[in-house]
Amino acid sequence: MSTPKQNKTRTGVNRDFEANVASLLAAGPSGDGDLEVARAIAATSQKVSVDITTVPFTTVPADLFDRTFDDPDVAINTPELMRAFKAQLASKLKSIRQLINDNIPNNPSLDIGLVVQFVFAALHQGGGQ
Amino acid sequence: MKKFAQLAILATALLAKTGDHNIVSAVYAPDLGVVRIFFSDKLKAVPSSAETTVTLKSGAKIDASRLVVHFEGQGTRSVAVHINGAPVQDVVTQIAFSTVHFADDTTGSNVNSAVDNPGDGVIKITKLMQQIANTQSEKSIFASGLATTSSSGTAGAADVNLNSIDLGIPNLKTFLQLKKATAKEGDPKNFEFGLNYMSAIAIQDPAANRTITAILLDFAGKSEGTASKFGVNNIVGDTSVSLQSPVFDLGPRSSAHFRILGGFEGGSNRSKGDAPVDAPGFAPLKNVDWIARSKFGVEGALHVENPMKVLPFELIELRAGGVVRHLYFDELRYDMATDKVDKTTKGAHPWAQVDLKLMLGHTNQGNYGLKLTYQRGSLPPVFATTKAFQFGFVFETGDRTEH
Repeated sequence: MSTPKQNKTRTGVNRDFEANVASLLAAGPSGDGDLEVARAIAATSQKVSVDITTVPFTTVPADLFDRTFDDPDVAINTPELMRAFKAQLASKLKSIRQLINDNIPNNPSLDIGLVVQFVFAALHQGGGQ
Repeated sequence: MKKFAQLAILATALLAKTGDHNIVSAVYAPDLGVVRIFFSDKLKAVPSSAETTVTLKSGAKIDASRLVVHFEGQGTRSVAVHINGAPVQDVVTQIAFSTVHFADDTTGSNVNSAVDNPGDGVIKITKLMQQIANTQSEKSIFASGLATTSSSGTAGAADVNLNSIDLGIPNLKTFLQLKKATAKEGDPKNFEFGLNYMSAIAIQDPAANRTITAILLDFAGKSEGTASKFGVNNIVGDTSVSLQSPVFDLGPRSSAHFRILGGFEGGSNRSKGDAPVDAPGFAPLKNVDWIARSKFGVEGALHVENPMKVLPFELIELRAGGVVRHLYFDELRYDMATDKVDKTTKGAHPWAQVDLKLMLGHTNQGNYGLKLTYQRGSLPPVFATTKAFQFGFVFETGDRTEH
């Protein structure tokens, strides 16, 4: 049983050290796929960044999952960039690699939140009702 | 790139205007004890547990004191409902919120949805994603062209790209492309249709993917024709490898990216159409048979919004690209002087295109502006020399969200 996330921003001075520790901790799948989607977007677009030293992780832009991929502040605005995003996501979520490749369209107008919901469902198929 | 005609998006926008906000998807993960809900619109505040009802298949409802409701992820459209305490043994069938306050200051009463298990959720969400029609691509400068005005006069043009027909086979798409104009120097005489299998490999090294984020692989089988007159037809296999850059940040709402492409096209000529193959002096036409071409190209795009309103444009989008095909065997060529396909050619054949889009403003229905295209070079199958401008009005449907 997971617990609700608390918004708590870290303000320590050793940010590099914290980032390294956080990277190691975040190396495995996060459970709900949110972090992997955010990191795959950040690997495809330098307009987006992810801070994994905060709990929960935070992104720039802050409302990333409310936007579409072709939003000007995300700018994944061609089918080719969508293919790159999917490749990045599949490399981070190997257990659902095939579902990502086969089911997410190369359509930049997709809601990011809908893709997040898809990833959440796909990751938990094994524990179905 | 802005959104183009998308019925699903428009339908969502219309629903929002009437205040008919809804739940797009609700999925229960038993292993986490979490119902995750994705709303059609942003919420102003997360519903309280007292406003939340989780119903089981037996008809029983989970006690509100066991529920913890909060925003999930980075935004206010996803909500997670945690069911604390002993694991739920029954099937969760419905989620309902007695009151939901949306960000546009509307309030929904009894906003509810059936809850899917993860397997059904994957199927339903996939269908939802597919319903959002593919953008009217402006797909790839490597293979496309437009023409309206050339040095030989002004004329109409056709530019059709269809590349989203779902064959039910993952990553395999059909495509159809028509580039045609009536102005002689503005007509690439390019018509292609076929199948394309797509794959991609992520570049995971953080240092490397600052420049290249993925390698894109395309394998296509296609028919190349001349659209109307001449009747030339080639059957070609097309393999290409692209290096895709990430999106580079150029400031608020502005960005750039590029793609480098290399590939090989091989096949054979199936029809010479009206080419005078039996006429005296045209013997080389008869020998045109096998096709072998290598190609190399680069494409880039620049997208700049104009928040300062210094210029009368809201958005400036520049796309530029070029590809050089090298023909290893003789292929047919259109001769503008005779208006016939009566030559052969081999060697290098470049193609370049620049698109400049200036969006002047927007309405509730979409964005409007001007588009200027310049193209020069030649395309298969008859490599007609093209040198043309296109100038026109563009209208893109879809909302222009301000965050």
